[in-house]
Amino acid sequence: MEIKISNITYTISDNKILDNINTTIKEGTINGVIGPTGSGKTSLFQILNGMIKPNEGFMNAGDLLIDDDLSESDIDKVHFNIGYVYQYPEEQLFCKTVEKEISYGLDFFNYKKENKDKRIKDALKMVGLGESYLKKDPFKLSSGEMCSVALASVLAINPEIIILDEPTIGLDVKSKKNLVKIIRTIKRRYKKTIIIISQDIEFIHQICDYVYLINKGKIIIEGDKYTVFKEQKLLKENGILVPKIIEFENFVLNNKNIKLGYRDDVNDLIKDILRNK
Amino acid sequence: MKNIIEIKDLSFGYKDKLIDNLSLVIEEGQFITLMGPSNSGKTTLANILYGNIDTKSFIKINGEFINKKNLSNIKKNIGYVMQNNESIFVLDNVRKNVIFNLKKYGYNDEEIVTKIDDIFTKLEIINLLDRNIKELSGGEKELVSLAIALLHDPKLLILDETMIRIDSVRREKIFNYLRKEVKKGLTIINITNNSEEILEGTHLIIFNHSKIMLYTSVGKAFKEPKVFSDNDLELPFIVDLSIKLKYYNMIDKTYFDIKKLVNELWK
Repeated sequence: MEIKISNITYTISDNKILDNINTTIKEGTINGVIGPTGSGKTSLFQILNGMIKPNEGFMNAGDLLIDDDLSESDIDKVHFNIGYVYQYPEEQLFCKTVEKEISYGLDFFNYKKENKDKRIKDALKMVGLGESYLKKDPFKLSSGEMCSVALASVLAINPEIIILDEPTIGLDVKSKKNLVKIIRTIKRRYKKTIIIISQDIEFIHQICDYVYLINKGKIIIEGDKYTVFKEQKLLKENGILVPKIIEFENFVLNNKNIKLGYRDDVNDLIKDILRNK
Repeated sequence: MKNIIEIKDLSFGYKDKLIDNLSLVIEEGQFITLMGPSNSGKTTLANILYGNIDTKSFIKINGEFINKKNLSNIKKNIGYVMQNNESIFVLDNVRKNVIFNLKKYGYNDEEIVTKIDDIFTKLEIINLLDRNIKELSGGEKELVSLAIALLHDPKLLILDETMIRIDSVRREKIFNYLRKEVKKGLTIINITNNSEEILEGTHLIIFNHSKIMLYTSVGKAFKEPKVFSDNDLELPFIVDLSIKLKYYNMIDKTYFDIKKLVNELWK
């Protein structure tokens, strides 16, 4: 599902959080949203999910129109199509067992029991948790597992658009690799549109196709990730340091006039270095 | 050097032991990065040090045993930024929360004003002081929590995944500030899953299977890189690159700095 954002402005007590945002997010892509602390990243996608209403402008996601006039029945449609995995899973989770947590959303959309049980198990499997988790108390899980349950409860509803707000908090290396695998699978197999809001620049670099840099409520630069990460100085002026591998490649280009080609992986970088020695 | 933390034979856990027979002595003035896979007991250790979990074991902070009687004294010596910091925001605006937290330590009104001004200026977040808590972003809450943890001049600062919500330019500034405080005697335990943060500190502890697998200075931390892969951890980018380039005989030591490595490669 494609997302079109038109003239979005959002204000809290005279404070312009978002200032006339316009952009398009392509269907079936993974999009990273970066920017300094308090720049408006989360607000922009809370509007898309109908959690907050814009003061001006509107968004289109497929046939859905999201503006300040969103009715209750429209909000249900929005939630059916656009899943939001919260920054703090504690805020999203509230049931006594993992099973109830995941079925809550499904009950809301009136899924039949057989269909529901299968969806719950499939969603758990997708995030790498076994059926043994069904009866566990989500609040007694580690923070990484809690994030996985929060993600599973969104995936169970099978939305077209999935927003992940700081998904790597509390994740160790293994769980992070697992998350990369999950996100790539849902993009490839189901053509979902995925939006990742994060300060974890290495993660954004690893997984995203496109990157949007937001500061002071405006989009400063957007494009495929290499186009954005090439602009190291502009990013720094806007609170963001580029991934280490890009910093290395930019430094070699600027100081030794050697173009290494932007690589995602250290082993590929080494091949480039060997070639250019 | 004085010992800021002394732990002897600490065991803790319900079914599975989260911490098993742990002994650890930490001298003051170290900036320790604490890493380990999920469920290895890092946050539990932080909660034990802060006195949130009573283990009845031998644990001294700044020379004082942790027990029920002197808990408030222990907490006075520690600044703790928890992974979930919602519980410290009990009042509606930032300034009120900060004052509420400072009053617990018995400061008078004048001292409170000076302290708030000092720390909020240093962290460059004066603009957040009169904000409503509901208007703070996740990262801004983290910054305010950090300020609150630093306001009472703790001797030990424990950060549990604090930096991950904060933008990288600001993160770099905060690390610079914290390093200066470490030189003046502050001890820091920085719990993180981001290997790049190792290079910001002076020491590294790797915690896994309820045990300490490595405790060494950052300079010596990468002598045996296998300990990282054995414990499901990554190396910082520049260290990883150095080790691989050494394998190809292109350099002969591990670099911590991109500029120096590049200048060595293309002399």
